[in-house]
Amino acid sequence: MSRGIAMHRIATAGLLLLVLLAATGGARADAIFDVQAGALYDSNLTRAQLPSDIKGDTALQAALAWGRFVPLADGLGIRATLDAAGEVYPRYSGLNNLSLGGSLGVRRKFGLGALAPWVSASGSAARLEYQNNVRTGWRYDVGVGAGKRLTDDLSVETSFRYEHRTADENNPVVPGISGAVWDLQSHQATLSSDYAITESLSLAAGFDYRRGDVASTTLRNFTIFVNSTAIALDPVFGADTIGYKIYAITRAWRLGTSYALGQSNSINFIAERWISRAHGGLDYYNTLVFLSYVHAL
Amino acid sequence: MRFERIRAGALVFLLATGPACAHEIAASVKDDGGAAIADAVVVAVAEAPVKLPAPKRESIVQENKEFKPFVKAVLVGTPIEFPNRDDVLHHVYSFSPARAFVLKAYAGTPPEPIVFDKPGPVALGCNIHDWMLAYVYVSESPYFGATDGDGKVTLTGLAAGKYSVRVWHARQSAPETSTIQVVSVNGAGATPVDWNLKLKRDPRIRRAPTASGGGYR
Repeated sequence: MSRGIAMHRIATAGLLLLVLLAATGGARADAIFDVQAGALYDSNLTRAQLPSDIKGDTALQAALAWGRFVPLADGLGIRATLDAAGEVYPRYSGLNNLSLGGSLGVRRKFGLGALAPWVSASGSAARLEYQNNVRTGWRYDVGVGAGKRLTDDLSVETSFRYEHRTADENNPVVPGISGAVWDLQSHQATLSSDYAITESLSLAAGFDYRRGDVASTTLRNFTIFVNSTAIALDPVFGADTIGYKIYAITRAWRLGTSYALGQSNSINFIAERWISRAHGGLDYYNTLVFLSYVHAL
Repeated sequence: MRFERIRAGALVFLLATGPACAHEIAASVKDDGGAAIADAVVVAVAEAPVKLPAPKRESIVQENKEFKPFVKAVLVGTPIEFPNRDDVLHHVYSFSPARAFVLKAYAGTPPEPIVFDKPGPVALGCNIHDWMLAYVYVSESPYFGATDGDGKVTLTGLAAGKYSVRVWHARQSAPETSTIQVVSVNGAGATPVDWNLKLKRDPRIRRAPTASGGGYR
């Protein structure tokens, strides 16, 4: 059995379990119904280094999570959700996508009260359908986390995640070199903090350190060619653009603010700056800006 | 003759009991900006010892994942029950020295109430829903009350005499003992007592969600 088929069967079984948990979870489980809608600007969708290859766009986004939080014992609980999301890009419609999947997580709090530290473990699987099929496939991730509220105003947390994206298509363009550009694996460590400025307004800061595969799209480029591990055509950005898979270390800095609108709603603004460095002196920079409205039960 | 004796006796009784226990304290609590403060507990302690009435059972409910009321003022020795009216579990606890307790995750109403047998403030939380917060203020005196939305409360049924009157609020910066005012209660009408409190920020954990996402794309 190929690894891809095995992962798909595991994902299917996991999603069926999630449907069961999300639909029931016990008579006293907390219902989860989270809706997020907004816009994302990405200054470098192509993950490119040369100005002639860099392309940006703004996407409209929506996401929904539906499920249950089930308290099991003192401080221990399971969260299971079915997740759906979509993005629409006005300029690069090949990136328009829908995802459907699920997440399962367990969290353990050590002690009573809001200041008790906690640890968590979680995993998710999702089917990603893109308007242009080169990126269509699956995304899996697993991770662990830990955190603590230090005061009534300030909390910190850290996490470590492994992500694997698979693509249905593998169309090599260079003999002897794989075409699985969008088959990506990575590890990421994150450190983040939240601070409540007022009862309604909070500030968030974060740092990500990611090591793993990056998909970069450019016109033909010899430096990238010799440093890449997979190459395929990427028609999303033009007839002559080529996708390359390269290994890179990405550092991302994140600053955000959130304003509460009552108990169940908020508006949020997040800005991120990414710096990625790959072999062969291939560096690229991204600025991302998210604006969203969130509703949760 | 007999009727005259009964009427005279009734008049003596009224003079002896009615006016002596008919005094009031009208308290007003505002912040240092002049805005009225609700949920401030005012306590008047008589100079002379007072017989305490038998405490009545009270309740603090959990509804829509919040405690109601936010502040409950009770007499020392009061039993309080904690009915859970939500369709989810709650895990109620307190660390406060006046009454530390834990009600492990439950639905419905626990069979036994919690007796609050020491004076002082008691902060309540839920270990599943971190934003839930409420307070019980346990008074050693039978003369107490919590201010309304206009920042006012009237303490009634006081006998004439001197009282140490103080105020407690969950967010006040200064110690409760620093708010003590000594007043004489003996005239007609309510004796006014006012405070201007400096308040700290609301310590409640935010319930509203924040955005998820970010991360590598």
